[in-house]
Amino acid sequence: MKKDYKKVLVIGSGPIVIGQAAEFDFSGTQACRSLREEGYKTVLVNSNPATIQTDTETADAVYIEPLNAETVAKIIEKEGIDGVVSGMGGQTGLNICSELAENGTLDRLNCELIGTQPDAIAKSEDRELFKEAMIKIGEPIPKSASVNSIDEALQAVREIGTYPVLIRPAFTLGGTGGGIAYNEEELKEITAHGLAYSRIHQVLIEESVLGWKEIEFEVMRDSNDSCIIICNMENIDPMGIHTGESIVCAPILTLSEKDVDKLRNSAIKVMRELNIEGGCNVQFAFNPANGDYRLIEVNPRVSRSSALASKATGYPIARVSMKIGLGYTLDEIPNKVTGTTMSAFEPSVDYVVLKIARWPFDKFRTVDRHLGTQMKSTGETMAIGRSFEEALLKGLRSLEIGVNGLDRFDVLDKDIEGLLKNATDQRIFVMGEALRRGWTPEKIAELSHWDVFFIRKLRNIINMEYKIKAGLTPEVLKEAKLMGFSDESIAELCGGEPMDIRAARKKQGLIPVYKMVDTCAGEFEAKTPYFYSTYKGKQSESVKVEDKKKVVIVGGGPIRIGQGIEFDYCCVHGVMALQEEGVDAVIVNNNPETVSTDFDMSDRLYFEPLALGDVLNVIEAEDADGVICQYGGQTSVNLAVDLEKALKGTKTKILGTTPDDMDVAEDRRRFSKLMDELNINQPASGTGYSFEEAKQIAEEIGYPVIVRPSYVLGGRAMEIVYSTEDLRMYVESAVKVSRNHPILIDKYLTDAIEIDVDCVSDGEDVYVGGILEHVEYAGCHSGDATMVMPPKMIGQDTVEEILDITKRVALALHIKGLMNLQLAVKGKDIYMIEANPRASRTVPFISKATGIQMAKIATKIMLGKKLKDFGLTGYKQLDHYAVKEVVFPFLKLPGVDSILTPEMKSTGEVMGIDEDFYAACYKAQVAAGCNYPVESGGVYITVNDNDKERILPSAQALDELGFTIYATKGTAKYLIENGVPAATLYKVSENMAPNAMSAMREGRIQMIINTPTQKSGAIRDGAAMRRLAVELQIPIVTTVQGAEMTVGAIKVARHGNTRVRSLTEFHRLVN
Amino acid sequence: MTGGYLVLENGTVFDGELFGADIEKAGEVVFSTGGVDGYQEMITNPSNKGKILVLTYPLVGNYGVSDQFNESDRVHVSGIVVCEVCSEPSPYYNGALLADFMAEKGAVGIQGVDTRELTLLLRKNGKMKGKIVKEGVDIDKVVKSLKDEAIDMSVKDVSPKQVTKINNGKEVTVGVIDCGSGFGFYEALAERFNVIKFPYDTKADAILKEGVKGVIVSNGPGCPCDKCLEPTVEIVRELTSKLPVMGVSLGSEILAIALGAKLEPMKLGHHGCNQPVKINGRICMTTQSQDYCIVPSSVEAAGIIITQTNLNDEVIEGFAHKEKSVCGFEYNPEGGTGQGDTVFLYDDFLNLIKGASQ
Repeated sequence: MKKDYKKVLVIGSGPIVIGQAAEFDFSGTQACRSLREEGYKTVLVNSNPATIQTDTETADAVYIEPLNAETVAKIIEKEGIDGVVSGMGGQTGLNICSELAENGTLDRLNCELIGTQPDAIAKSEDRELFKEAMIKIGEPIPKSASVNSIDEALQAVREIGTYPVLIRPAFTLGGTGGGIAYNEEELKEITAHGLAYSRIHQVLIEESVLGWKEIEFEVMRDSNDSCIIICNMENIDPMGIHTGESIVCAPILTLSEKDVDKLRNSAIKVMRELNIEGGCNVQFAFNPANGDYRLIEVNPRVSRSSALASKATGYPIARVSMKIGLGYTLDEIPNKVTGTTMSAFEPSVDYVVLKIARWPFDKFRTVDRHLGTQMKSTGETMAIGRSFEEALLKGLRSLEIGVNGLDRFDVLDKDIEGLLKNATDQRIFVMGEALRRGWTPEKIAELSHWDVFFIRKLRNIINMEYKIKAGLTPEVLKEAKLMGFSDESIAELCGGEPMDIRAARKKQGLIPVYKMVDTCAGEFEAKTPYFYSTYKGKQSESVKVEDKKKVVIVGGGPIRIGQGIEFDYCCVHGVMALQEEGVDAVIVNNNPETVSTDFDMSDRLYFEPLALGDVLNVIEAEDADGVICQYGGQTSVNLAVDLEKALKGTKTKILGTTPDDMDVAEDRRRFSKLMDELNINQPASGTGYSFEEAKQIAEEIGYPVIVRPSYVLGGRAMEIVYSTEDLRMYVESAVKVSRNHPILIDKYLTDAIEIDVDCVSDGEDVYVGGILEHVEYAGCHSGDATMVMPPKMIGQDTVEEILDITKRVALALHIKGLMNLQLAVKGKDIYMIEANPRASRTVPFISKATGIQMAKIATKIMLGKKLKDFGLTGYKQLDHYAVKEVVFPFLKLPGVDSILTPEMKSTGEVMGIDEDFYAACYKAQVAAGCNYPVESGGVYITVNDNDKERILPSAQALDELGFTIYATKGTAKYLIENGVPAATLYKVSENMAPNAMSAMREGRIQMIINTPTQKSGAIRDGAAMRRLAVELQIPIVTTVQGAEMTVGAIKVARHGNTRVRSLTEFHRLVN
Repeated sequence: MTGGYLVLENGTVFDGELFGADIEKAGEVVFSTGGVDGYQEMITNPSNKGKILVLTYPLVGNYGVSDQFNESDRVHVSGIVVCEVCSEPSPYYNGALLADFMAEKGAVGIQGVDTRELTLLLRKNGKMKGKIVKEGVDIDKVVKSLKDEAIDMSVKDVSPKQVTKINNGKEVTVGVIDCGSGFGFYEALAERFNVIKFPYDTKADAILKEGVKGVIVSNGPGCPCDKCLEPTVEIVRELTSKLPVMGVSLGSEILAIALGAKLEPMKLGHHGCNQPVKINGRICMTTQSQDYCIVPSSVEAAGIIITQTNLNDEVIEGFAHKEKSVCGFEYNPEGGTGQGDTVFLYDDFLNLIKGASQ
């Protein structure tokens, strides 16, 4: 029975952070669609502009506003909402709902929670209540105690009896602040940390079940008390490693039916006791040695695991959960996959699914790589195969970490034992290496607490390696392909070329077949257009549609720093645009969290690695007319040239800008030549093949310079160097310079304003979607920069010149589709930094701010339409402001310096949008979780000499607002001389009291304004202070412009009268 | 391992590698969508006698075999068809290899088959006879011989030969007409009843003489219309007018015939552990091995009311009699491991008996 609601609000999960990623874009979007197909008026709020969810088509009204109880209450009131969905916005959404329920807002506004109710949320989230409930129904949980202080934690361990113990903070995401303590000292440290992170200042001290198997169930329950299991999963990494970090296998492979049933029944019992309606995740620790188990955790909402389970089985958990929330029962909800059966069934799978996490350690080389109860990964990849080996090899090459499978790994013999025992992201490769060096699977299993079953599978892979190396006969090639080896790894093992292996195996008739993911293992006829490849079989189920044009969109793979959800947004828009034009849209991707891999998004979905061979296989199976490589970020761009080469002579074309023109933009020499022809400035630069050459170039150009290796992904290993000494250190420690691997040296433009421009071109006209001004100076990676749209600091004449440059470059590069430019403005001069002939990170942001959907238009242009057809040309000025703010993972990743550099460090972004510039700044900062002081407090100001004069207005304003100003000696002197009272704090290196760090620890400082001196060594000096600021969550502002914005935002916060407005209301302003 | 084939009566051939016993065997080829776990239970369940089971999960035997998972002390299936049989199982159940177990028990299996292709074929064509044979045989000959091959799925061989009394210290004693049931079934009953196990052809008088308060007609292999079951139908008919009777799986079909309902073979049947059935408004997952179903139009005349249907295809899964204390279910309520969603149906039966004797 459907309930009546006038209007329903769906709360999103905000920016991508570690522990809360794209899975909620997927589930929230599915929820909105589910609501609207039932005819409910739907409103969505999310602060994340990079999502599909915040498209105006997703709901009747979409708000990009900060996610907090206050803002949500305003929206409820303004829209007249009477139902709020509690379970689609991850922990963020759930926490807001709990708060709105607890503080009486929902009652006051006559609003109900849809889905899991506050008491059920409390019962599953509050450790004490959960424990009570489990004791009541006789389900075993680890011995534990909730504590609010370190003394209580010590007492709790005495009662449990032994170390190690686990520490889990209540109400946090992804286990933030948790850990394992092996002794009293560690207990004290981790508890202190955990208490600080918990919303209710509570942590759980718990008996250790380290080394047990971790088993998960995705359960669904309706108001009739029908309970079904959607999927069960086995974490291959044992208890002690967060499930978000573990390699996870679905279904469970190594437990007997009796044991699976035992856990299944327990999960159902728990659902019933907690009275959860909708989807829910239940985690167990299971000791296979004696059959003991413990209930570990219940998530009364859709989660990362449920997104995975949805993709693993084809069962749309979020959609069905939403319908249950609305009052439907499982037998009333049709199964969209089969079209003939109902949702009240337990899916069966007939394949192996593996999820493998993607970590950011390639970006953060100084971070501790060990895995534990706290998540460090930013994304994940999923692979499907007909055998474990096949799924694993696919999964590994989907990670985009430069491996083709279980590749060789550089490790010293003496380090192997430790690396097997204490997991890092590299453990599986160490296992492979150990097997190559003759370790037994049993020994490896003993050290890693993996089931030896899985290690023996790894050994099968290693044995196959030896066979390939011994001689690639047709029989061996067949065996290797059947096991799941890629053409690339076979080529590497036997010293050939991947394309030759490909040709050889095709000649042998070894081509993959595509099997369907149908929720029922073939029992019923299914209509899902969702496929995976396997060489184990002869019958393909993906049907070629002969009479329609087909275009393959290459996806973006796992979410990592530098390649986030924005590219999934672009892919999905590509799909929509193709479909609008009557073309079949085919997606190839391997990220289980995203909207693009929702089975009813595209005409056909192939869950595959994005390696050349795999993508080519899909293109050939589809007999595609075109391929789009512009939308999947660097992953797809990197494939463009090779794909074009491989597809030469076939009907399949790379759509849009030609790979050759893309190459002009990517190749420095060709690009420089073009800029010279177009008479566009570029920072002086050079290429050094040795330290001596690099040194000479740097001296000619003049320090500071930006240096990077010739092959770069997302600014990796890019640095600003200020002196020959810095350069030597960089060359020696960060990169290897050689004839084949030169380093690139660019003049670093100090104090220049960086600009991002995104445009669409059809080769004749150019439409500039937006000009974004960076708040941070050039040199900070554009992905990390705070950005303002429209620009505030540069003048109209500069804007005109930028528009002119953009048009000339787009036409010269024969852009058909999207292009992004990064420019630097220094005084009157404009410099070209780079041109990216593809969808950029800022495309969704600009589209949300303006209402013009650039990725869709670009897709249609690739199919042959013209900008004229859309009535678009030139550039339109916004009459409101959109501010992009980013979020960083520093809290989760101890050991990373929080200073912004040319290397990207942020995981996600938010948008603040308002008619008033400072209100937009305020919204962006709140949404990003910056807790700037509003009422009172201390502000510590330490700026370089150039900035002293420019910081004065902000300092004066802060003083007038009643803040206490602290400053370093020089800054304080300047401020006092100019009438701003300031107390002096000394740098730690000055060895004088009072110093800044102790003032921070004492709680006297609530904000720091620190513009670093741009000279050698200065950056390192501030590292300790920055780290402390991260830990104490004291916000740091690093530019004068940023300080000015923050002061403006603080004033807005004081007034407390910001308004909420839906995107379409803003877009009306534009038109 | 030696090469071999699965040959189907329609002439389709799947090649693979043989494992288990060194024999060739024919059977009725059906697929089961369970099978990541529970494979040992399935192959040792007497109900599956005569079948060649196609397990849709591609990896079979992952945790080995262990006595604790036996449903009987024999392998009853004619054979199994899998994508990959595990030769190095997880060690935790101290298990032997599935292939060795099958060899020891005289059953054959074939691996390396595209079981999904085979499943889709069976789904389209319905179940068929088939034979697992060794490499080098004359396939045409096998196909021809399959046409006339009689698959032995008779209850006679799997029903016990004598009466056994099991006193579990319970209040109520039921009789079980055992048409070929497994250990799990008796474990579920033992929690609720004292049990007297009867051969399938035990006369009603002999059963009543033992003082049982109710009778359960068990699951078993084959067709309920099999000639050898004719006496059983008569016995059950007689019993239904004397005391509460419950039928499960094959037993429910015998019961339905005894009450006058008509049965028809299903194209595919239900084979697997996730068949959704609605009971009192709640969805329950059931483990089924159902090949025949009650013709809905025959229900009225038989005086029975439909209590449960399958959510997927609306096949009748449960019924009761309008007047008599009789109920039947097209599956075993204890499920594959005695912990099924529907095990409470035995409690219901216990209450029915208690109500009837008051």
